[in-house]
Amino acid sequence: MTDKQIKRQKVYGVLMALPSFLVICLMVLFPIVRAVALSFSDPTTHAFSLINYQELFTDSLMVSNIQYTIVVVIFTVLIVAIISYILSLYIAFSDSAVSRLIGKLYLIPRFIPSIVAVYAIMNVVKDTGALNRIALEVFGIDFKPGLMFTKQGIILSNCWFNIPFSTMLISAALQGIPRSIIESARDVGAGKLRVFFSMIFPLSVNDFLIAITFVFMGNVASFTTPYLIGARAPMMLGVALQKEFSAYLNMEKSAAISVFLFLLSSLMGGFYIYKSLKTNKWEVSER
Amino acid sequence: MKKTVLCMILAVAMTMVVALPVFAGGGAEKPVAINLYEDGSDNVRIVWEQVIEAFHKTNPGFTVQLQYAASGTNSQNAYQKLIAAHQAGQKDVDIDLMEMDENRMGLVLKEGKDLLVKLDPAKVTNMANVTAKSVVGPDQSLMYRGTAVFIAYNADKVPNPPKTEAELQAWIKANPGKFAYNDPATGGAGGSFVNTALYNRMPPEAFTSDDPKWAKEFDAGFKVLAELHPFLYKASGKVQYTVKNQGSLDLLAAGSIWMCPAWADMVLSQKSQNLLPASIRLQQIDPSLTGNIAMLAIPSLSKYPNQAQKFLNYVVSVEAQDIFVRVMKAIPAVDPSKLPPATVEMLAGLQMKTYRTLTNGNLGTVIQQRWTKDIATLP
Repeated sequence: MTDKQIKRQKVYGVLMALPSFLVICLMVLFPIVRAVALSFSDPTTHAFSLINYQELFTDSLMVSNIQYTIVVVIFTVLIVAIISYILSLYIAFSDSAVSRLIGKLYLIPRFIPSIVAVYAIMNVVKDTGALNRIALEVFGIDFKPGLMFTKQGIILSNCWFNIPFSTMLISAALQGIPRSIIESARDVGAGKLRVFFSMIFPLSVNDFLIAITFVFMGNVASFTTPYLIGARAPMMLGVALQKEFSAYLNMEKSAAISVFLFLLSSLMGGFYIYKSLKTNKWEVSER
Repeated sequence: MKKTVLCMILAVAMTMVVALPVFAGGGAEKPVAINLYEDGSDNVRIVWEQVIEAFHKTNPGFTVQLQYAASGTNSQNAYQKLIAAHQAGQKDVDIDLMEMDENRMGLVLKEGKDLLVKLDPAKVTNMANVTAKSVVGPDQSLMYRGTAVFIAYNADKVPNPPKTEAELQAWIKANPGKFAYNDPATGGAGGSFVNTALYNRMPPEAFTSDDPKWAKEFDAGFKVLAELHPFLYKASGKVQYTVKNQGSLDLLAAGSIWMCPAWADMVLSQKSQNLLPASIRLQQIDPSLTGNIAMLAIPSLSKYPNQAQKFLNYVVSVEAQDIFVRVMKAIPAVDPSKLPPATVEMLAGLQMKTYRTLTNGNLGTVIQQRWTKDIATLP
């Protein structure tokens, strides 16, 4: 290709990307800029002010909402990370019938609408739910799971939604590891643990961290689950945001909460971009 | 070369796809159709379809189109669209009539006092029969139905339901864990319970005032709510407030609680669909739990204000009010004695005499915020 041709191709490349870039500017960047501007304006006078952020970080209920959100998200991420990594290892490296069955079934929760799933979970775990009735009928025990209106209930439901998703990402990475290198390592005498810590884990750690990032971002601003399962106070920030927005109609304060959630997410998002740009030392570069 | 041409065509095509909707619109002259923006539960859609159908039968000339959004999806659309249109300096909007409540009235009129059409009593002649008015914009909105909150109870467990506020409070304290009300920010049944506790301890003129000075007198009511708190429904070891009006009804149906405040029309329609057991009954207490007024308003930017007022006049006619009562068990906007006797019969269980509404404008939000801070956070 001549220089001219390369240049021309670049121009067409930009032209092709332009429409989606414009859509992103219009539908994503512009609202973000507006929300940020709104969050710095006083609800009554509309003048520049820090009052919304001041309330966000000093109001005792809001502070406990923030703490509550962070605790729920951290536990969700930890539990999802551990379970989905183990599950992925099992799906990718075991060849048993059970593992193949799980490999086929584990994505089903992804296809159930979240509102349906949350109501289903509630009907199983609430104090008069399916678990309680089964225990009462079969064993005569009045078993109360005590999960409704609690952090544990929210985390349980979050796991249900997120384990399939992160398992999908991680097991794809694990399946991408060439079996030949594992076999050659085994041939020269590497033990199972040695293979795991020196080869499998380093080769999948990037996708593992990316999966965690997505789980974090997807849960920090979640609404349906904490709205239906969580208590009324403290609440997760997504619920507090909806309350400010549609019940109290306080657009400025809801903008401030959105910006705060956006910052939390973009911290993780920045991490994701950094991770995905960094070339893995194991990958063979073409250039 | 072929490739570059193809690339160019593709790029242009993609840009057009994105840009086209901006230029679309316009078109040939169409017969006049006015848009009615409604939101709420599905029974709202059903009743409006019937009212509009009846209107079309006797009123040729223009049609009414129902723009319905299920509650929780984008229920703030109409009035927020109007505010956005005003901020953007638009010359007209496609909203001709919209569902309003005091909160929305307050927001729209704060944006601009003349954003809503002043209704003309000569055009909306039936207006004279309407029994209640908005406080925020009395001549820019029209009540077309009322909604009432009652105490719903399980008659198997509670043979003699409480009849007064004092009896109800005594009952709650005597039966710990058997009463629940929902977070007032998530539904009006809990909202009415909270409001009634507050306003029963305030002078009668407060009921129809949005003066911020009343906020100082909420203390006595919140004290009562705080006293009731430890005796309410418990789950996972703590007192819990349910989410949405349906949250308490679900507990009532499951037998977890024996009593809760609930919208009369929700209970009656769910009983008729066997979603609630037959043992669930309604009881009003004295002084009664407050109801709400549902209103319609016409934006000044509407292209067809005259047609909209004509339809509005029909909505508060005896004929249309009869449909509202029969189909959704609504509280009529006109004196029930004007309605057919068979329809009035349907309201008999609802003790219309004691019906009272609360129209406190933006104070409603103040109450919800204070409830979240003072009551929801109690241990």
